[in-house]
Amino acid sequence: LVAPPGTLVAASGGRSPRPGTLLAPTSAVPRARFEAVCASGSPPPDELKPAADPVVEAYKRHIDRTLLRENLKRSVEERIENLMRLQRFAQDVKHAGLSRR
Amino acid sequence: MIDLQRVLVELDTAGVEFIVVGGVAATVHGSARVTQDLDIVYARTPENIRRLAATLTPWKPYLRGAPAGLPFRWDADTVRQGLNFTLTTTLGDLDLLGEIAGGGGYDALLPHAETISLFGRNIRCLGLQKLIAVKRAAGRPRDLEAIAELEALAEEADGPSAEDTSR
Repeated sequence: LVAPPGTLVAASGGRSPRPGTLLAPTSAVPRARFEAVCASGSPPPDELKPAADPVVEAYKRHIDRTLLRENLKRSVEERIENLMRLQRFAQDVKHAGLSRR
Repeated sequence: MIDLQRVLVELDTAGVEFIVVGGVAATVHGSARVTQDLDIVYARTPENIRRLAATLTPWKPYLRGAPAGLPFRWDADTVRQGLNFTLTTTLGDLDLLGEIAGGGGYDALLPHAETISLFGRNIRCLGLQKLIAVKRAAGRPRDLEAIAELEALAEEADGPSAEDTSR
């Protein structure tokens, strides 16, 4: 099956697909439906789930979700302003380090 | 570091059609990671390319990482003949993308873009699910941690699990 590089993997019947790849539709997933979902970009139905990447899952366990929740309480503009402050701070630290060499 | 406010406002003022993707889009969705550049996908229409090239000209765009003095002409012809440009400018590092892996070009991404209000402007930004999809499609090892954070953000949007809230 030629499909856009992608995000959805058909239920794989126990195989371990490379994360992020598309498999051919299984008997449980007719080709037409599989292709329609791939083309739509909509959230996948239950039988078409994104492959779980074990590395991503491992990283996910160590994410500080309290930080994310605090960010989500902010408006989009506040998030961007915070990013700009952090960029300036990173730049200042970099320059301070370079000036000490 | 990039002057996000000035770049976004000036692109919008000039009527450039673009979608914010990459790290800044992740910040829009709540990411706590710090990115130093701005990635945009721009429409490849002749008029948009002309506007984009004209808007960037005062910022003296140059190929990022290229040796100083390398002949590089910035104009609409250059943009038309190329596709993706990683640029350094007087306002900071800017990536202009004609297409992205797993997402395609501007028109293909448009249905997956959200309009956000930023600096008094309406700016298009790639939606969270598509942002995850294109990062996965890019397949770069350095993106794996960012993907994990974006997926965590998507889960938070669905409501934190009991296990997570107990942390």
